[in-house]
Amino acid sequence: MSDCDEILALLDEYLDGTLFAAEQARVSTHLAGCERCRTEADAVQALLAETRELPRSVLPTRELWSGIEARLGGSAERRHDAPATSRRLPALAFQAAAAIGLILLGAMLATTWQHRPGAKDFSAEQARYAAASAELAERLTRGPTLLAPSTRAVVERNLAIVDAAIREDEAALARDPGSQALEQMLVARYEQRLALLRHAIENARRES
Amino acid sequence: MNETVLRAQQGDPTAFRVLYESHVGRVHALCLRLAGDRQEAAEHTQDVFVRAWERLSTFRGESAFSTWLHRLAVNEVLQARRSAGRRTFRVMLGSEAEVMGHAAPRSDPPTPDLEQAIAGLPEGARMVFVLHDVEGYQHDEIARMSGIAEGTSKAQLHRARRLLREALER
Repeated sequence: MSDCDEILALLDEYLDGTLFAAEQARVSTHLAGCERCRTEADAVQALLAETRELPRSVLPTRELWSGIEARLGGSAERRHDAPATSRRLPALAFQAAAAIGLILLGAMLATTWQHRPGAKDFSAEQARYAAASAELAERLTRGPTLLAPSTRAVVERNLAIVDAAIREDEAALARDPGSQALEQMLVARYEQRLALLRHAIENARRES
Repeated sequence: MNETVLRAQQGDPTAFRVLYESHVGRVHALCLRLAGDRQEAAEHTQDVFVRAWERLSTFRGESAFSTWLHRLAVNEVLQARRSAGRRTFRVMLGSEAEVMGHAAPRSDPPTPDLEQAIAGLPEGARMVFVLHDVEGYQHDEIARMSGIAEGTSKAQLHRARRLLREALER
């Protein structure tokens, strides 16, 4: 490969400013002394300059809102049911039972979820999670069982771990909305938390 | 958080309409350039706003709403195009110049402008060019969002810039 070929292969990254300093300097030096490569670089720069001038906003040539509006109805209801972190199961840890090892179970569920067919509607999954969480919270607050302080502490620790993971995933999803990978991960966390609570209830029942 | 966004999050379609009117141009520009086709761009734009309505609960105000919506739009369009297997674009093997108009005889339509040339790029090259050079994403982000390797993204960008220059005859 000739010097020019090597330089031209690096030209995009040079113009984007993503080369290491030494390479950047090497390309720069070459361009200063090579008209052919400099012409090439100027052409790409001209293209990039024109690209930067493209309008940031292009209105559609036909009316689109009515088609959107017609599709909003069902979604809004689902969205109202969707959980917010702050609404999640207040104080339920104080009446749950021991659940050591459930983080591992959660990890299993996470893997299972990713291969589950039809797991596409994140809003529906959020709504399902919110409903299940509310039901479990209700059962826990009405439950006949009382937890020993030591088991309560274990459960609280596990819930704190899962909640922290959920908060992280929700923040990541807020930064990267619509990311299916993040949605799948978050739904897996929801499943993890539900499994933790169910297991705690079951243990508490057995202990009573 | 912006009052209009809050009201939309509470299920107010009128507030959401305001958001739509404020942002439709930006979203549509992205869809149009990624799709390279007006009809598909219109469909993508509608899908993006429906998806935004569904996902509003995940917007926490940590970034500007416009940033959140833009990222959602990119994800939505890329996902839709992968799912639908929309490969209506020309195979660019040996006939790239012809497709781009470079080898067209003089009686053919004149040299396209930049928008037309972008629309004429093959799918992969167009996606990377639009995301990198128009929208300002880095190769690692493009790789993550689109599921291609970072090296592929760089190669597609190089190809896109070359094809565009050929099409624009410069």
